[in-house]
Amino acid sequence: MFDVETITADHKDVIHDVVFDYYGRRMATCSSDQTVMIWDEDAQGKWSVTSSWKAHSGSIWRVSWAHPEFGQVVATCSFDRTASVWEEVIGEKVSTTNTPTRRWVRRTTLVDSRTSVTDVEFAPKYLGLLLATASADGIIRIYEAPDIMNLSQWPVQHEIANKLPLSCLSWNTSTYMVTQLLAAGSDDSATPTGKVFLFAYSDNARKCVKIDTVNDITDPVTDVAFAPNAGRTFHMLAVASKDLYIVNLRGVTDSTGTTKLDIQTVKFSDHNCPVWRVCWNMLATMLISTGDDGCVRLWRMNYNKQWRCAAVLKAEGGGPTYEPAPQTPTLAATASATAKYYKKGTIGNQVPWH
Amino acid sequence: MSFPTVSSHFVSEKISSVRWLPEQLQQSDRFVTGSWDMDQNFVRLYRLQSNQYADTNVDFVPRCNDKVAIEGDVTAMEFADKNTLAVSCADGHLSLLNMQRAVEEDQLQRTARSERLHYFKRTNKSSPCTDLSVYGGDIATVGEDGCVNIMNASNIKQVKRTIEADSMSLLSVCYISQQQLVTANRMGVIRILDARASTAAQEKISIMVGSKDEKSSNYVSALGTHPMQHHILLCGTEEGTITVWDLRNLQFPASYLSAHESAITDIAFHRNDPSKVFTAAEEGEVWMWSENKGIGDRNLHDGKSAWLSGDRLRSLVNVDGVLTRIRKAINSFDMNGPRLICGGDTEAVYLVDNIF
Amino acid sequence: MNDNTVSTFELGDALATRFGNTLTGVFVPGSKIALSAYRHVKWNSRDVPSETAGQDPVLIYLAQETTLFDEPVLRSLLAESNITFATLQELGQRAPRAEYLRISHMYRSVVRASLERLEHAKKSPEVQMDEERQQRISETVIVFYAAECLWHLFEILYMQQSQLIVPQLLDWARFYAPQIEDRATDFLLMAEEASENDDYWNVLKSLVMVGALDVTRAILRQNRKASQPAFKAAELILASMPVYKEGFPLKKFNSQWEHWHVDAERKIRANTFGSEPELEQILQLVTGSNEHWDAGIKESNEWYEFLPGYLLYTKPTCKPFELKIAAANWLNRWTLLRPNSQLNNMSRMISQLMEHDLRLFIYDTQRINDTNWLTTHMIDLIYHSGELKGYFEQNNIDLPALRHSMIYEYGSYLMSTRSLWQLGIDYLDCCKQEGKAAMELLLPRISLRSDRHALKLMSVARKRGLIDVEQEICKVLSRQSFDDERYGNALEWGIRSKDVLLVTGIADFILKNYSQTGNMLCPDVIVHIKSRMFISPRLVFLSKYFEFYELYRNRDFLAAVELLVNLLNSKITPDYFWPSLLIDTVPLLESKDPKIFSNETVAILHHLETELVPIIERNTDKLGNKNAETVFKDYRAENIDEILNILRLACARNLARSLVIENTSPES
Repeated sequence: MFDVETITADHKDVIHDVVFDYYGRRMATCSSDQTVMIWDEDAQGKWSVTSSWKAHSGSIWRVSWAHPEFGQVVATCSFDRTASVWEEVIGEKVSTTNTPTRRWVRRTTLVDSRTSVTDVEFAPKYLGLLLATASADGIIRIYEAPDIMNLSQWPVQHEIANKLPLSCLSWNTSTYMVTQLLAAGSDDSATPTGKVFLFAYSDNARKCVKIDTVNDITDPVTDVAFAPNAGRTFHMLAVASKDLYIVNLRGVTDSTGTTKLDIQTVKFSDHNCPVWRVCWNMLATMLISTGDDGCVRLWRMNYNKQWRCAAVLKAEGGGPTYEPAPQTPTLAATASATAKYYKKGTIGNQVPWH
Repeated sequence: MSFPTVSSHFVSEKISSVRWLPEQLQQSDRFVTGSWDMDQNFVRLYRLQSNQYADTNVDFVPRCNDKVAIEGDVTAMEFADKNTLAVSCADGHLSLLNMQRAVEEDQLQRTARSERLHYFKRTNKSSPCTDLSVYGGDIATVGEDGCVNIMNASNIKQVKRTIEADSMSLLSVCYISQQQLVTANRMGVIRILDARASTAAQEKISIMVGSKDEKSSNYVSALGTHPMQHHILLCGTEEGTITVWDLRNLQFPASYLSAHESAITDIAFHRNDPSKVFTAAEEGEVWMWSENKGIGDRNLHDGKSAWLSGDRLRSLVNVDGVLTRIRKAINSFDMNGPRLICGGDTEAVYLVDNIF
Repeated sequence: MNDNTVSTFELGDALATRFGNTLTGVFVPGSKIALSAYRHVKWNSRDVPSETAGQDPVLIYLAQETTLFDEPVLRSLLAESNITFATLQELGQRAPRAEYLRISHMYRSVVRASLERLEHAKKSPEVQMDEERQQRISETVIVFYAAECLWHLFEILYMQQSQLIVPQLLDWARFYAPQIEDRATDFLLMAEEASENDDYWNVLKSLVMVGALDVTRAILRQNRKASQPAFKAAELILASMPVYKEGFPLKKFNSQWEHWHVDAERKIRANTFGSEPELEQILQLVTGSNEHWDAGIKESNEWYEFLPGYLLYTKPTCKPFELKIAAANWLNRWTLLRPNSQLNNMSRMISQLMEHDLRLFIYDTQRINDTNWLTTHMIDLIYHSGELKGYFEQNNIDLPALRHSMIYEYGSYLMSTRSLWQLGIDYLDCCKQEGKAAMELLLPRISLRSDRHALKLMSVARKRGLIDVEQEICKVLSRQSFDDERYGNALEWGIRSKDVLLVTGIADFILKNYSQTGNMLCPDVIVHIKSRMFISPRLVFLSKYFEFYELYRNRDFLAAVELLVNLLNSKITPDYFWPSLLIDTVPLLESKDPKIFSNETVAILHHLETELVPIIERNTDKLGNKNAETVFKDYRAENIDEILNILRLACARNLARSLVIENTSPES
């Protein structure tokens, strides 16, 4: 059973991305109506818009929150070929009793791309304040803010060119034996080659390079997401494509000492339609996949380490109606008669400690 | 000699503060608890009743008689008089609650709530009120805004004085006399303030507790003064150590004791028997420190409390574990004659009888 | 254990069902899911508003799985069972059996205490007014009542030392079906008049079928006809029924019992009770007459209700493995006699326990609506006691892995709820590496409500060696304070985090602010930094500069000058601060009585030319003349050239003066 709370968004068009901050108390939404809205949850659990502004001159595809240790910072990317970084500042105080309003100011606009910027994501905090963008022309750019107190400077650190247009990217947030730092996917449908690429920082070349391609996935890819690593010795990447894929990546060192990447791909066809988005939960124990069939599927790993679809959430239906949850044992008649029997019970209900 | 008996009672709330109701002539059988970190926080009034379940060796069981909902975490509670409880809250306000003792059901009611006492000036956001102290008819509160507010219990809507004591959060406050109070902050700096003077007129006297490793910080989380000799100040720190200051001589601490392995959450002299000091720690223990009542020693420290004896302190006090291995923090305790009541994050209150 | 049915939930969002749109979802930290309408667009499609723009409201749904744990009164169950769990972990796997039994008792008494509290709460006025809460409490009571009942049965059959389970099963069955005993008490009080009741004999039959012979005999003795031969004979039979006691030789007991049984049957056949047909029925039940028991089965509410009683009269020395067959037979019998009745969940699980089908039992416990409380704690107990190790191995179930995954899931669930996070810690502590990693991910995500809350989280992290988490919390709080312009607080949190970049950044801000406004922020914090300054060279500079600042204000000029010159020589002066530092020398150089020696003056000049001038030049080259004026600003001087001129002049004058003074010996 689910408790559902509905929030009305003032967006004029479909929302492209809904992203929550680190604590789940702030939300950023962006839309084809070219605006970004920032929402806050108050102490009673009510959500309301605290800021909304026109951020780009084209549809905004994605939003990303930076880690709170860098402050309140978001990045957006758009069809208008730019990505921007925004920071929240306190406004001026009008009088002593007035609460100054907080507003979001543009810190920088990254104009390097010649085509639509399809994805933007902040890197895991241990790398510093870094940002990666993926463009439709296949170029990945990694920017870094050298001064965490001054977010107006974001020089480009790496540029990686790819032959195919890119639709999505994902940072690997694990700190465990990380060789593959970034994954990117292409939604190209013309060539029959692998559509998921893995990148790493090469100490020799002193730059970020592509180290591998997941050849099992040749259909257009619309979303990739690395799973947060909660103690695993391998990495998991979820891929949204014609079907849902979960890719296990393991670094294998052979007898000569060289480390190769062992890639195992598992395919899930439950959706029976293209899968557009994937999202992991905090411990990577559950996965959400968005299908074109109006359904969202929740996946869980059972204790045999196999992924199974655990629930389906459908958009259809007249109103919020729910199928009953797995049955509860019923004992209505006897349960209410329990009270007086506790006094005669042979087991005391308070357990002294000493 | 009878041994201390401990009984635990689960109350479904994390307890941040617990106090016996003051009684003049008899042992108190009522106490109040304040909760924190819950979806809804309450101050509850409990009364000890005889245990109807004869098969356990627990004599008394607390029953909740009444409760008052509080807007945020309860951070501290003190009785301003026999029936009035001052409660400081994380929403930056102070409340006064009135107890009505009755034969059947005692009652608890909020009689006053202050204006917003603590807030951050730049953003106008409320700041938690972190501690309070009472003396005479006055109540002093401190908050994360680094300010001290002094009010009279008869009218808490009017702040008599605000002192901007610190530019960081204050963790604890304690009155030493009607005019003087001490505050402690997260750096382990203790300031002695004059309740009658404005911020600018304060003499800016401060002392600092040391830390075991000079590269680390050590906050002072608990303050306690001797019931009669108010110049004796006990400071419980983050490292679990106790630093004792003789406020007449601020050059260096009077004594230092390495006590618990975790932060000290509460420290106090026994109200009626100052030869006993109690400390509670984050790791879930409450210890009792009793001065050795050896005959020879009496002459040696001539009425001076053992706590000021510097290096000799360790040999002059015995320590007993009154409550141990609780696994989660004990946040507060209060004593009433031979009884001690403690509460913490295990969502239980512990009643210790026959502590001496 | 594969569940082929997938639960489906319908949401009903208009926009998501429009042509081309679908539904999408993301996880929200804290076990929620946010759903909204979604439309996939490719980068090369035209960037225009979709054709459905503006027609339907754009909604976001925040969905959270409902759980009974939301009920505040249930918390005591969670808190107390948490402590029992921790106690069990300390016990380990090699403790004597009795200890595990004690833990099992503890768990059950925790549940019973909670049930009592819940019942009590249900009657309170505030709950009476809240229908939703009433319903939730009712459901909670039902679920946990069932859980405790099942646990009790499990304890009897699998955890006990004793092989003879009938007496305990009788207690168990009677405990969970108390209505009969109510009537019995009534009858006892009514004495003689009891027999005038319509249901007198039915109640007595039920009492016999649940094995409450003492009570039955007591009621019969009060019957008016108690002195009649039939009743006396009945009393004799009932009183003489052998009751097995532990330690009594089995063979001897069996022969005694056989003897009694044969004797009783004989008496019945001899029509001893012909005059009292109802009484005879009672005795038929006592001798295990199938016809009469079948009639009884038809009356029972649950299939297992009268099974223990039946065993008492037919197989009083029944052992657990014998129960398996007896229960299966009884269930079959029941199904045949009551073809229309369905087994509800609890009944089914009871049959699984009795028939030793633990595999299915454990599977079913996971589907109870108790957020896995029962299954987690029970499996953990089974794992520790080692009782059923053989069973799990034979059935190819990896018990340690199952236990680990249950505890991990339970613990991480608790840790991601707002107010139950402290309870989850003990569970994750048992999950070794995975648990620690989970804590590392979950602890820092807990929204920081106050300093006290943050310090508690940090102490939990520190105790487990999660230094990263501790530092992260400090950094976040430092940043928050900085953004709120609470610089003293920001600096202290920054120092606690030991993060060089952050501390340097804050120190930079304080120094820059000072050089631009002459206002030293948070002096009360800087003065107490002491040895912690070594985290960052900038902080060392700030600390030492502040020392100079204080010496100067206290007019301790000689010491101030010495410190100032040290600072100049120190090589840790930030570029932007050179003007200010050098300007600080001016009043000292210009003062009437000499404070700066000649060699120090030379040093100052040296730094002026070798440090400040090149910096200005570098900056002017890079960014133009105007920039130098804004970057190197000091509140005391108009522009940079003025600074240079004043300094050179002051140095020259002081140098001249000091040379004269120093080279003039007192004698001459």
